[in-house]
Amino acid sequence: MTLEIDHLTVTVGDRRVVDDLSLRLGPGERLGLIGESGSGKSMTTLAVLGLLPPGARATGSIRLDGREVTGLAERDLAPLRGAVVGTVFQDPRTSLDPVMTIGRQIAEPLHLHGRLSRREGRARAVAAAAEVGLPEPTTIVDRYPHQLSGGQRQRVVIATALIARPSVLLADEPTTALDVTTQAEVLALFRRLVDERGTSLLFVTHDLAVLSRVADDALVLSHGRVVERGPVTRLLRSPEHPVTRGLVEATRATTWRAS
Amino acid sequence: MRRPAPRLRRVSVVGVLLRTPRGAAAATWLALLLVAAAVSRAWTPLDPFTTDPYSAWLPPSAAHLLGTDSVGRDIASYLLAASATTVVVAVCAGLVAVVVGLGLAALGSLTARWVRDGVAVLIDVLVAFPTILVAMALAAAFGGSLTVVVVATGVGYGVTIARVSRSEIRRVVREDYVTAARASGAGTAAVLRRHVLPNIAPVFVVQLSLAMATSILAEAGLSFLGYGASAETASWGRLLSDLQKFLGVHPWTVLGPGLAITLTVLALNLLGDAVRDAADPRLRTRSPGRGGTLPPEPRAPGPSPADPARSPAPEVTS
Amino acid sequence: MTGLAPGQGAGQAPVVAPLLVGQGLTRTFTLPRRSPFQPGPVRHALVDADLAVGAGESVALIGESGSGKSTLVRLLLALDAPTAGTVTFDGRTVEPARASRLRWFRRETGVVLQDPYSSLDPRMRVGDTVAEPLQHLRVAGDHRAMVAEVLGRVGLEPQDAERWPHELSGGQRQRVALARAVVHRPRLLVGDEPMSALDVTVRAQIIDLLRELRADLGLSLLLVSHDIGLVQHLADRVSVLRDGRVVEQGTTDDVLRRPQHEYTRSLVASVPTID
Repeated sequence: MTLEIDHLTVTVGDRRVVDDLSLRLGPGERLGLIGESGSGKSMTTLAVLGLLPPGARATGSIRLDGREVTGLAERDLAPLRGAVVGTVFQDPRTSLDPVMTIGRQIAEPLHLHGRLSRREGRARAVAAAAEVGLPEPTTIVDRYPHQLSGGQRQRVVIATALIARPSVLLADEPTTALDVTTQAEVLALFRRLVDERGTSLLFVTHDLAVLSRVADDALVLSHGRVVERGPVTRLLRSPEHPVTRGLVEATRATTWRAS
Repeated sequence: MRRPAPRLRRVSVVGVLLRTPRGAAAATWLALLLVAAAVSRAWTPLDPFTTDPYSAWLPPSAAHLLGTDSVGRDIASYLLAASATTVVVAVCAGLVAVVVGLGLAALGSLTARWVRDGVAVLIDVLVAFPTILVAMALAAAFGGSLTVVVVATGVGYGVTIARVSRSEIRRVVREDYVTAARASGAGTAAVLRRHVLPNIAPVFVVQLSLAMATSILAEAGLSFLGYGASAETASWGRLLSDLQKFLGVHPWTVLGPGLAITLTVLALNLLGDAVRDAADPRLRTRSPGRGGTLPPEPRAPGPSPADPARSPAPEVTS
Repeated sequence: MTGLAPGQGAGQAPVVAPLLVGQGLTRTFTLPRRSPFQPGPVRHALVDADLAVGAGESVALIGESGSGKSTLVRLLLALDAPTAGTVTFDGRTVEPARASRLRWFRRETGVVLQDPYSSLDPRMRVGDTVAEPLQHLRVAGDHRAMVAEVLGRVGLEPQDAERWPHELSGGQRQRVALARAVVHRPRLLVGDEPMSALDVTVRAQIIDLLRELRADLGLSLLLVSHDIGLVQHLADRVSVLRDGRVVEQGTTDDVLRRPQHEYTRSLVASVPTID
């Protein structure tokens, strides 16, 4: 098991934003967390990373690659981020440092977690850029984020998240800010990379249609609690919990019907 | 028959302001100052300007609440009389700063591109001039006086206000609610009145309070140096200047004017902050379903509005 | 109509009397110079675009970011001046002018913008925001009652008029924006990505609400979106915009189910579905 969460509860003030959440993720598995805004799905990823906002308290157990991470001090947590768990956030405009070149940003996890010369770092960055399908990898690594499109920037973020070969990839609404054609490509990229490397994927989204293109199983969240879980195909075809049913119906009423 | 929309019940900003310790303290001190200034025009315990060398350096007593200075003037009466000077300087400098500041800011944000850019450069150049230097130059040309102080600090701080307000105006004008207002039929004047001014108010109020505070300090400093109030005008700065020569011998006397200046400047700064907070609807009411402190409300997911790097901001037409 | 390849755009003419018509709309931006010796680069945000919305119709403009759809909407609403081309409403020319000269046009149109978190002035209460068009447009009558009525129509309570925007959720704010857009009973409602910042259940509710408003108030609808699913559920006719040009137009059914242009085809193929 690469990621195990047991009875995670996150409270902010007197409110429980995550309530008794448990999940298991093995190598190569793709699990989705689906829910509306405020359902606690983003807080869950932040809890795994140990990056909860000030004022938020977490109880429960989170194990990454078998190692307990709740209650770890910052200096013990930091080495895990990037090396054991990689993250892709939603907004490609703000996830990249505008004054660092693409190559340096992609290689940053390598430099943080190990000794690497500048040249080696650049070479690995070029390789990573090629792997995520960025055009002209040898020249693009010297560009700056503002010179790339939104889809390309998100690919950079994915490359950065995966370059240190983490066991778990956390993705929080990674395609929501992208155009629909770019979104399709990036989702396909997720599937391919996860299959090729055997990384575990925890994919957070509010969009059932997107979820169905990238995850096999899913947890449905509402007000911080898991209300239903199961294979995505089953959730779509025969949802049991009213929240899930509401989601499926609303999605049907608002998404493209090909037939 | 048209009836204008009645004003909805408004929570009194003043009421909220007075409920915070900062706001209440600052407002109290400044109210006292205003009262003292008003009273001093009609009455002071003793004539602040009467000198009596035989009564120099008297300790505090019933007759002289704060004692006397090196030439026998009653310090308490002098401080009281000088409070009027302080109020006048602060208010006038504030007015000058507002006019200069908003005027330049408006020119620098709501006009044609070439005017805007020109004014922006002008503002940056003007900001570079130190206020004290300008005051000294004016004093050298026209002789030291309170007018010089007011003009110098008013313009000096007005330019800083312009700089800050200008970027705020440009930010607000880009916001969606301004577009929506224009689509609802609002003209430029209406947009300015209803949306721009209230939304730049927080920054502006703080800057104005700083301007007034700085003008008091500048007046004190310039009078101290001899460029400000003349000998016939009571001024805290002048008193400080007179008393500090004897600091080694009579150190306690400077407390009077020193504290007066410090407390007034502090009160103005605090009031500025408190007014800004009291006027912010977000700080007056809580967001739905929140307990304790939360990070700013997470944005519901969705594609970000068009990247500003890709489309230039549209010109503000009427 | 120009801007289309031969054979495309079958059935693009509105069946009913056209209300808002844009013809040959072009908008070019000159960006700031890079060097003092060369003129600044020119960006063609929109080239020779035609669009028409008929009375009672619902028309959608599909485009991804950078396609020029927001530019086109601003031109159609006289919030920006075209480099070339004309806009008419009910036969009258529409162009940017002083607010008083455009009042007649502003009475006929209402706008809902994308971001519910920035389209409401944070320093104005809901009631004042919704009443704003009534004031600027000098609408006669009891404004307070009209505000209460329209708030009820969009699914809010009359007492919500006293609330501040930050006290409301994204869906509620968008309802307020809708209320503001229809309070003065325009004939045309324009929505610029009105749902993209909303949760899916809220979206479904707003779609129903839009349908209701169209039926009750006889509104025509111009919807700008990149969301093909939304367009399918709301629009009668569709125009597809790409890089500033209209590449395909027609009824929703024709364009989305039998796309002719390869860009439209790739768009439709990329959309994730749950069927």
